[in-house]
Amino acid sequence: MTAVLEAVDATKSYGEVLGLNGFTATVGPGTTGLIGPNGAGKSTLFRLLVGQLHLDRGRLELLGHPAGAQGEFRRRVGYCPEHFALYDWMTGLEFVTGLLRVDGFGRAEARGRAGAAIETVGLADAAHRRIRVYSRGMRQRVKLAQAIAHDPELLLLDEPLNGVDPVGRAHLIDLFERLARDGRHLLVSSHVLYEVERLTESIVMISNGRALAQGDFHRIRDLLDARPHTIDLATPDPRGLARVLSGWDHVVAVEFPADGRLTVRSRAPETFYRDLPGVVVAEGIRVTAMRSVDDNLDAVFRYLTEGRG
Amino acid sequence: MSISAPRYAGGTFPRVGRSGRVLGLFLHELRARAGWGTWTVVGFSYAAVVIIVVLTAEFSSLLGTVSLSTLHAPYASVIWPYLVLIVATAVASGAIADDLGNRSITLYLSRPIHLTDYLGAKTAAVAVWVALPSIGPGVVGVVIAAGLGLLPATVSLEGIGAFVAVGLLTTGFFTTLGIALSTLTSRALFAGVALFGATLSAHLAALAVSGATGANGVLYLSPITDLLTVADAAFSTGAADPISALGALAVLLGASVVLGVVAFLRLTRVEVVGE
Repeated sequence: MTAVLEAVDATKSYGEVLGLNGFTATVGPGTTGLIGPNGAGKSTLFRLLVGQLHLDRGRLELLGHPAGAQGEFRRRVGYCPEHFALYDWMTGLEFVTGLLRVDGFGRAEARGRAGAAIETVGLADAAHRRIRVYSRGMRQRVKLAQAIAHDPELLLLDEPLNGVDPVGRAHLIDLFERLARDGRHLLVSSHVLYEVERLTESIVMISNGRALAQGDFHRIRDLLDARPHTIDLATPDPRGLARVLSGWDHVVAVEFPADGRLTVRSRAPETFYRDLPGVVVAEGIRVTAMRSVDDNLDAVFRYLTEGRG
Repeated sequence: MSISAPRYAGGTFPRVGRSGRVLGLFLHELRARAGWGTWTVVGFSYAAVVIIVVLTAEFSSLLGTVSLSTLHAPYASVIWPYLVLIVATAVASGAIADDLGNRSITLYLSRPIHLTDYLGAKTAAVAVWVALPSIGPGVVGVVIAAGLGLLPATVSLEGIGAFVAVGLLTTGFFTTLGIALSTLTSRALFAGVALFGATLSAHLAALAVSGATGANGVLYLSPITDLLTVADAAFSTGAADPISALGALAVLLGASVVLGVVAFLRLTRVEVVGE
């Protein structure tokens, strides 16, 4: 089939700041991770793909169509932006239903699909609540619901796990795996390599608006494993959670940066991410947000960049 | 053993065509603009205009002087146009600016609709809201007065025609002005202040300059004066307006077209930049 995404020398600047700087990559079928630190150009690439930014130079194609082209082929694409593009005064169900009407579904079909999508992302209990009362993780899920509700062939997911609690994160990763098994193509961006690990081995690494590397990520992960990985957690009981986590072999430090916050440094982030949901459930400690502080990834990117330079 | 990527089997669901999708966006937007404040001003417009039309018709009927100019009474002051302006400010200012501000325009335009569909649906929804207080009250007032036997059929029909014509002009101008300003900012408040402030300032400044210098031509710069002048002509009041009704009509129609083009061109250049 045609490449899902093809970029040749794609360049986009914001005044004097380069968002994309000669980005060249080809993304094939299946799931691909777009990995890069904050400010690397991931969101710029997504916005170019959905036509919300205009390319300054180069070529960018999505499913064989020029990125930014309007028209019917957009039915085949689902987009979950990084930012919260939401109407706060609507309920989650109304929001997704409204967007499905724009996708071309009749009223009843749109409502039915919106309900199903909201249930799929685990938000059924809050479907009739106004978005303004949603937590960060719930907002993330409703964005995801609108992206999958019209059953698109290609999903563009910009930092879809950002701000989602550990249990929700595991649930969403399962969902992405299921979508991929059904034959959909996923382009998932993240600044956390480990988030993408469960989904795919195919990655495009981006930094300073350029594609640094493309292909298997195991080599990159080996570089990361040598350094402690920092994870920031929000919980009403940071000391209780710290007590449990400090007993783990791979956790080398815990800190309390602020009320209700806990920062953990782990030498085995994969194990940490795998085991945390179990602890949360078993100990009954609520974790309301989890964020990977990507100092380590930045270091690897610096290493790669300098190594290439 | 060979491995191949799974084949996508979705996307075969029946969907409505382009017009249906635009209708969906229009209805979504129509509902999105329905705030209690807007409803209050719309309700007040209906109450005020209907009462004025019916009472004027009653007095004229008693005096035996009923004519088309009798129905001009609601346009005898600037209050009605300003009520319409308040509604236009409330509904139009956020129509595009809200989508730019919260970036939901990204979600719309990543779907299978064209920029013209998006702008058209938004404009149509705002126009319906602006038409509610600008066309409806006069028409309802005439229907009620005619129903009470205060107006002969010919005057009633002429009156409805005049209210619809002036109301459409008012709707067109305030809708395009509001939409154009809404595309220029990601803050609905800024667009609203610009819409109301520019109209009010133009009105007061034109009156002041015209009064001080005697240069009546400057009154064409006030949309409110233009609308009232066109209304005088539409209701055949025979008033000696300082500017020509035809000129005022040309200014309002021309400005509406230019503002519509400005809104479209602006949207084609809009880029949604992140935090």
